[in-house]
Amino acid sequence: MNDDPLKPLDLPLDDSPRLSPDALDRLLGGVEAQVARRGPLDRLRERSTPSRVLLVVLPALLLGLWLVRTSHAADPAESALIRRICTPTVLSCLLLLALWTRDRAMWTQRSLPSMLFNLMIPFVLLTNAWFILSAETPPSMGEAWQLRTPIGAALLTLLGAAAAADLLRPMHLRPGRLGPALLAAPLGLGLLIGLQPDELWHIDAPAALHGHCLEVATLVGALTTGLALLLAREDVRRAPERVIAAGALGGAAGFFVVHLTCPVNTLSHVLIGHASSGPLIAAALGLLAWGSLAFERRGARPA
Amino acid sequence: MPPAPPAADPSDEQLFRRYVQSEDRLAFGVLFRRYADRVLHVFRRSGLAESIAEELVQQTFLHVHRARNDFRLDGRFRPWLFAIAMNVRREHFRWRGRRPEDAVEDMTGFEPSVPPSVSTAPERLLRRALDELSDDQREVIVLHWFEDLPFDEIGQIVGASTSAVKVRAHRGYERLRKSLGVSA
Repeated sequence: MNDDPLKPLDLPLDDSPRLSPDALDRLLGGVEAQVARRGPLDRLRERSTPSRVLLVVLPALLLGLWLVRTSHAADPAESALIRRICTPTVLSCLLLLALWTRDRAMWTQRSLPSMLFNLMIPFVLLTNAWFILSAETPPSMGEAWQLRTPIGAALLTLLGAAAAADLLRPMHLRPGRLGPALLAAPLGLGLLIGLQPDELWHIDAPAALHGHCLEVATLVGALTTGLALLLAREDVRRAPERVIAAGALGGAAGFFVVHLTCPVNTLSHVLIGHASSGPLIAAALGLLAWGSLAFERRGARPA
Repeated sequence: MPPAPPAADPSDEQLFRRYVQSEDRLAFGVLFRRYADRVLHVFRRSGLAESIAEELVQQTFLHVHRARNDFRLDGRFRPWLFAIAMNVRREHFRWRGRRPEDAVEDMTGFEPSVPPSVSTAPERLLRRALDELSDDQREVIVLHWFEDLPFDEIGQIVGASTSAVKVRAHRGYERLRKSLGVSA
């Protein structure tokens, strides 16, 4: 009688070894042949996860900081602003790399950066509210920028690096579901910024500028998406949701770079010019990935 | 003078460290011979045909090679390897466009290595009962019952706490008993 509910069933099993020594040699030979055939890109994918994440996130970060530096370098006050941007950005990147790229099996442990991100959203809202309420006179554009830039940069870098670490995760970790969060983050932050009281955000721009910002965001987004797809170890051609997540990651990077450098803060500009590159890249790549997967499945189906 | 005692077999971790640090292919080969059959067994118990299971074994060890720089040198090799194997299996089902719960259709391609008269009838019944489990339950049962792995290690493999794994095992065994008509 088996009283322990966690004890296996008492049934006869055929558990004899299946693979003969010859079969083992054949399978091992197959693995060794594939290892020997690998090219330079495969060798890059074999690098450790922290270095792959850095390779994906760093170009967008450097581009954003370079754009900020070139557009504000003449003003000493803006140099202080750059330091304010750099500090939380780099710190949050390091924090993420430390948290995400180690060998953690449990989902709750791995989702810590997402939880931090969720905690930071009310923090942004509260600090903005405090900023408005405590100001005796309407704050200037520079003051407002000094507040939003480091927080926004840290938020997006945190999420972007989390997504990069998820996309580039080692194969022993289960995939997360960061794609929807990544798509929602720039749009949500765009709404948050665009709906701030007029006293804080009063710089408007002609509609033609929407397209310029969108171009830059899409360019940076495409670069980051491409790097993420190149350095992912799993076969992303067979996983459209991972391709969409890569597109969303690119969009978040594009938002980050453009939002740091463009002073225009109207709702329509932030949403169209800054935040829409992610959904656009993700939708285009998603359609492509689903189409090619359907084609491959049709080809693989026996006649 | 008495002969020196034979040196103990190097542990999995020692072998894999040798592979990571000095690309010792012999060490990789030893690990492959130790675990290929067990990984194949897990895939077959998950309802995959023999040829597909063999292909996935190769993919698993290819991923082991690719991910060698992510292996913590103070970590344990066996749960790491099985975690990769279970993710390779999931990826395969995702590519096939169906859930692992629907694996029963692969039985048509199953090539039994023992004559049907010996033990395939109960085996087939068991496979059908396993296919009725949810994927979360089935992977825990396969690792606990057939691979004899402890619950804490299974937790590391499937990315869940030990108590969550025990709950899945409890529900899975209960359902299997009901399906197979075995009393507790």
